[in-house]
Amino acid sequence: MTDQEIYYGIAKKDNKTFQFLYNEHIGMIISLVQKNSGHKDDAMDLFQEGMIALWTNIKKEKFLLNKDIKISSYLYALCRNIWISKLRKAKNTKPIETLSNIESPIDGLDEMEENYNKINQLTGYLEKLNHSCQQLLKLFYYQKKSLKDIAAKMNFTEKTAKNNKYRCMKSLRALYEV
Amino acid sequence: MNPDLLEKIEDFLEHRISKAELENYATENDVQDLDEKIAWFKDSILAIEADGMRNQLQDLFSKESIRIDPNINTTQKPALETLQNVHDGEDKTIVRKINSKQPIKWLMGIAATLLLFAVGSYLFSSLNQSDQNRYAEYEYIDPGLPITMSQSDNYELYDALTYYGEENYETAEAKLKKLHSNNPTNDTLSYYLGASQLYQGKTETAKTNFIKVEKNKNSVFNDKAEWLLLVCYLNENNSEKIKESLNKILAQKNHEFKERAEKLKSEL
Repeated sequence: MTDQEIYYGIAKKDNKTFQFLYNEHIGMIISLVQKNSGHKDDAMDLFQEGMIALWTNIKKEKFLLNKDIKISSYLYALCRNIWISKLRKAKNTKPIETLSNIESPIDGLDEMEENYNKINQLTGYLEKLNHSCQQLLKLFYYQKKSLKDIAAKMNFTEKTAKNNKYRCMKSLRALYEV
Repeated sequence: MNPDLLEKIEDFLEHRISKAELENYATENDVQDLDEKIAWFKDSILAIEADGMRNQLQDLFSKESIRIDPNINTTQKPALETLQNVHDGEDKTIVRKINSKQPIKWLMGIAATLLLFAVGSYLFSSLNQSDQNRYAEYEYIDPGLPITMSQSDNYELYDALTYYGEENYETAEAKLKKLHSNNPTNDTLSYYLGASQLYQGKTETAKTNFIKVEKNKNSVFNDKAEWLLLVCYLNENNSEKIKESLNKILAQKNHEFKERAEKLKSEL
């Protein structure tokens, strides 16, 4: 796949693109994790978070195609930074020299990580909403279902679906403002 | 924040109302931090999508081999040189080994026979192919740019590229043409206008647009435009121009389509 196809595929949350990137890069992510206080099982989570970080920045128009740097390099660098943050948060006592002294080699990487962290923080608020609100918001904004379909699925009228959607967003805002 | 204002912010983000209309609707209090509220709303939608995507990835890879394929070589490095010191290990390619168990040998024999048959059939049928079909494998369908809808004035471009992404090249061409007439030096517009035309078989007009992009060496679309220009020449069977384009691509060390160009040259 070309970088442009990968870029477009990530933006569309295309499973074939994710599978391609997984096949190509999971090996080096396992290596990164294993050499730095982690286990193979952590690599999958890290790969997943790296993908979300890339996707977030594509959607926010903060990550644009760059002729000189491959997307795989961004993915690896983001995974590495996310892993460093995770180790720091876990107050890991083991030395992490292989990671800690390395400056980010790619311009804009810090901002990309910041955007990812911000979206992650907002996801945390989403998880505090009641199940019905979470379901409704995901159906509308992630699955792109119409209010009519959501109403049928959740057993209420279309108008109620619309009102509930904004009530749920209001609750999300309230959690954010606390 | 009241639900009605949220609805209006969403209308604004979806380009159903203008910023001025949104501001008119908002109360004095709301207007003060309206931009912050808009940014929060956009980020919250991204967060909801990211959460859904996390589940999607979990579903996708829960069946995967992270349990973990022992044959995955974990020493592959990213291409970028600046990252090469990040982790040690030799530069190898991930190799998934196939267990060479005896019982599958006979299956391989059948596969080889079928392959020979397939190659034979292909060679036979290719004798009857036109030159255009012969080069079909060199066609490159550009999937388009992922343009996100923002409150910028890029809505028309977003709209045009949405049609392009849906392979509705006729509508995309009409919309891109309109934008291009106001901004004829924009490489994005020239490139996608050319691509929309080429995919409809309008080689002549497509060439004009690709040549414009080809001349702009700083354009991110430069390599693609050069390749699609070559595809135009292939469609026209213009052997002189094909040769000229091929040499131009092959002379560039890091050209995106160098591999395909080498393959094509070997077949000419």
